Amino acid sequence: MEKKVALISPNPASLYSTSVSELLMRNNVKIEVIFVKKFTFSRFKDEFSRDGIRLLKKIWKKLVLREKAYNAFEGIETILTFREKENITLKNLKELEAKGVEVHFVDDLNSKFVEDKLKEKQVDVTVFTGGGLIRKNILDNAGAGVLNCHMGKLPEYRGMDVVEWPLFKKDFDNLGFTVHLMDKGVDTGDILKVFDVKLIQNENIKSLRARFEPIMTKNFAATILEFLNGEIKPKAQAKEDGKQYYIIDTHLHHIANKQLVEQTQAK
Amino acid sequence: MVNLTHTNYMTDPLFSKITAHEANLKKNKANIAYCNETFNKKFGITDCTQQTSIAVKELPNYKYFKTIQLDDILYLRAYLDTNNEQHHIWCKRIYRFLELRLSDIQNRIKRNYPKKEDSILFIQNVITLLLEYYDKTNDSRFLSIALKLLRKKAIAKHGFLNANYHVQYSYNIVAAQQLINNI
Repeated sequence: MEKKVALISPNPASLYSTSVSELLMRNNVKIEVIFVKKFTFSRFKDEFSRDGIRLLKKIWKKLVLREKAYNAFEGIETILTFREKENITLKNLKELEAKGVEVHFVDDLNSKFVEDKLKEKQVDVTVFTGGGLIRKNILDNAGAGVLNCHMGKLPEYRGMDVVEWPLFKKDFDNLGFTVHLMDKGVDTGDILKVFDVKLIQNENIKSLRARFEPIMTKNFAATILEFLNGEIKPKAQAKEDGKQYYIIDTHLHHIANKQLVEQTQAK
Repeated sequence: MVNLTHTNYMTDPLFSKITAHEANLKKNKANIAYCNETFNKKFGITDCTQQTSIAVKELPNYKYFKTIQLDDILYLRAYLDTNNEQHHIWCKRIYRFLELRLSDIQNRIKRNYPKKEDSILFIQNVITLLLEYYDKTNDSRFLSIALKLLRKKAIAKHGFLNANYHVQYSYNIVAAQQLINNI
């Protein structure tokens, strides 16, 4: 039977959101509705107070440079080369309107409008590809739940900069990502699957993060399908099994990068 | 392959005046609010000859960051026991508050101390506590938040070099560098 999902995205042209969407649709999953968080001044203000100068770098990379941001990476699979290989052509989520998918640009992902739409659509699951915190009213009406792919291994590494933190701690075997159900905590929801990412020669944090993107995209879509087919049983995580991390200080970030470079040069 | 020449090993501006901070600390060590002897001996930051003792007291249950006073921080610094549940809760909640309110911290600490000098002395001692907690537990999240706070100019220092808050700032810079050198 065809499965129905809702999708949450931070930006209609997100390479990650569009790639996950296309991979799901190819596998007989119907995207009923998409909620895209509008880029407004108040969103900028909120995110700037949290991320500071990093937000400007993120905007530069994701909205200005876009595909050019990947020019620096040669010889590794990035989201761009992955899209080419998989022949993913969807460039903007708005293109899906032509296929009957409702695409809504919203100020607040937790609004009554989003809640009511989810109640109306009765989806099997909601797929989160970024956009901020999701509140209880949405979690409760998202079908079996809201699925997220977190860029760190849970339960150990919750929160932010969870690629950098294990590198800083020389915990090189704990690099990976996790597909989990979101709950009201930060990355504390039930775990569907944990994936390892192994280091390769001559890496730095930028190239490692670029390498994460296609691996996460491919495995997120595959895990969503397995979950929809009832092949995975979510496993609860205990709060005390992990720590919540925040943005790493710039000096520690540089130490993490140096340690990664040294570790992968020796390989 | 990735071009490794793009990997920059930075010179951190936070430590660019380390010699001046060391000199300030040496000259005005008497103005440090509390000198943790074990920590100082370990890193050779300064000696604690003019130490003032901190009276033992009952640490109340943690309520809000705005209700914390310098005395509580000095008490924690003097008697920090990472196996003590109460101490652990205090440090964890202070840490969490600072991470979540980092962008607005200068306004938040005004609730603890409206006078600028007092609020800087208070937050600089909180930073010292975070550095000492990191030293005891090796939980690098505490080192990270301490460094992020030290980078905030509004809560760093102003006025005379020998002022207690300024000396505490110098102390934190020197201590942070020692801790980083020992990673």
